[in-house]
Amino acid sequence: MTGTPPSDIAGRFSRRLREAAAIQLFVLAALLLVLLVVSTGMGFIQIPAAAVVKIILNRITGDPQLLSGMNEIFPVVVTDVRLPRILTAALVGGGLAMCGVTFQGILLNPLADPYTLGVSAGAAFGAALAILMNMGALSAHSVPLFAFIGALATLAAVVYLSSAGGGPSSSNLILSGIIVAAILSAGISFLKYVADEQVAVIIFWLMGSFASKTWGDVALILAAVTGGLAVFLYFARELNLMALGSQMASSLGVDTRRVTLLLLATASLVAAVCVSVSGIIGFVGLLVPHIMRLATGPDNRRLIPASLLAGALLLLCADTLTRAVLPTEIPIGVLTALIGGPFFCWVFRRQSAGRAW
Amino acid sequence: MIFELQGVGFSFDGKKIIDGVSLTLAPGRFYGVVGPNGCGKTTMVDLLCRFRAPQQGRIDYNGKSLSSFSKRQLAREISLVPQNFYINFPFRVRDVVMMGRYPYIPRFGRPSGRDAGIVADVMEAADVAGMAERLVTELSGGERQRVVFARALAQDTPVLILDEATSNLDVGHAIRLLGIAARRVRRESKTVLAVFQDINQAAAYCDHLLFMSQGKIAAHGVTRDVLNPGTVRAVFGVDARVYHDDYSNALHVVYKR
Repeated sequence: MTGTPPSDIAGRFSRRLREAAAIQLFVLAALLLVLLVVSTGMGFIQIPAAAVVKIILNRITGDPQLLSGMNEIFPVVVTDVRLPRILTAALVGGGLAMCGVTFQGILLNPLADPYTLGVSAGAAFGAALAILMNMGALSAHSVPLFAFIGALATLAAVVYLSSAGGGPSSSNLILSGIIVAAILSAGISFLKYVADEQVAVIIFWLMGSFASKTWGDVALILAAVTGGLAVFLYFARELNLMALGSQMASSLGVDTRRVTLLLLATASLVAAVCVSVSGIIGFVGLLVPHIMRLATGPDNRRLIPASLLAGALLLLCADTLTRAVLPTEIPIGVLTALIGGPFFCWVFRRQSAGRAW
Repeated sequence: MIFELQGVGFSFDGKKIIDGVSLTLAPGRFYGVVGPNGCGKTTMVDLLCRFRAPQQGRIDYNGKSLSSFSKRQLAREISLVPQNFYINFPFRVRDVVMMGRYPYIPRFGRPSGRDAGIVADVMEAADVAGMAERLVTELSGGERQRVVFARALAQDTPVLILDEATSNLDVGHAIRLLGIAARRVRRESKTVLAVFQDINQAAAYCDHLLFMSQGKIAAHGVTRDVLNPGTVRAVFGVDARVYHDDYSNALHVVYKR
């Protein structure tokens, strides 16, 4: 410590932190890439990892040489069946996790998740309505579309409800979300009651699934997740300051009202797209930001990309488990809740025990 | 004049919190604001740092309307230590103090050596250097208030607003932090406006006192002119004796039980 100016120590310290952060991101990205390949090879038809890599390279470069001597069914299975599902699972996991970070930051509540504002209840209501009216027969996209509209309408109602008293405060938003979600879940119960034999379809949708996803779904979620990521990273520093409360954030140059609404709308939009494509998948958006905060610290500039990668990793693991490891396919939403719930209890206990107060 | 208020009014739910306040504040002074609970002190602070906008009247800062400044410009002019704050996320103390430098660092930029130097200096001054690597969520209320104070000092603005910034501090740290603020006024001609619960603390550090009552300025002037039994009686409804105390070299108030 002798003779070193404090700015040097601080500089060296923050440099080490940044390097650590870069390594964390690199490790997560590498793991995700490996898992993508391994998972694609797993399933009813086992495909060696080398073949998977060759097929993917072939699709990118168009070099037919790569496919020579390979079982003809492999390329079809990989590109038409497995990759769309696998990429959708990874993107939805990443999207939900990074939205969870944003919701927790804006609502100043480590227990908030992408569904706190009733987005999932709205989507579920929209989807149930579409299934009940047999809209699925018209077009394969009508159920996701209704789910999306339901999610957005719910968000609008919640923001309207909470902004009565001089701007949406975090406790107002959470309360409004709970109220609207409660009304909607009563509505969903009613729809199930009148649905008769359709009730199984509704219940199955609500539990979430990545089965039979298409490249169209992948493109849609990819657009939503990259757009959301860009917005979140742009405002990551403001989100850090919001953690000090809106009064202090404002005195540090943050237009708190504008940033709050913009980030909430973006996060809800991304969550709505995820839900409408995959159904309701809980715990990813709550659990991943929580665990990653232990690894990267609460700085959102690191936490957001790290959570995106970890969320993708986690949901891809869960989907691979239900698709290729378990004897029968369990709905993914049920699986994440069954694994995530107890794990979260453990994390929560440990964290509470370690806190001074 | 650094602040000029003309007929400023603010109501909430039909109740007038700030009621037609006109006021000028000169730069390079230590102002103290005192008044009973609910008299509008914190709302006044919110208006001055533009967390809220006045519903009537206008506020000028350095001769220009306060609302004409961008948020970021303002963050380089006015810093605030708020009365209530909560930090729910486990940031390190050093990171929170560094947030005071955000208004000077480009969005995707990194702190310069100068930023790091300023942060190290204010952490030393506010006696939080020893806890630089600790998590703010694990600090006591008073320790956290010192961290937030250091964060405001790191912002290094011409105006520093303190809203009961020493309410959770032990007497040693209270004197230390108010001393830093007073030195910045004396040596660097900064302006400090501080809300106090304790009139004696205000009298010891402030050149000027503002007495607020029911959303109005009840009395305003040089401390030795306005601090008298009449004002204390009128504003707080308490009988008091005011005398010059040689040991602290300041006016002192004692109350009748």
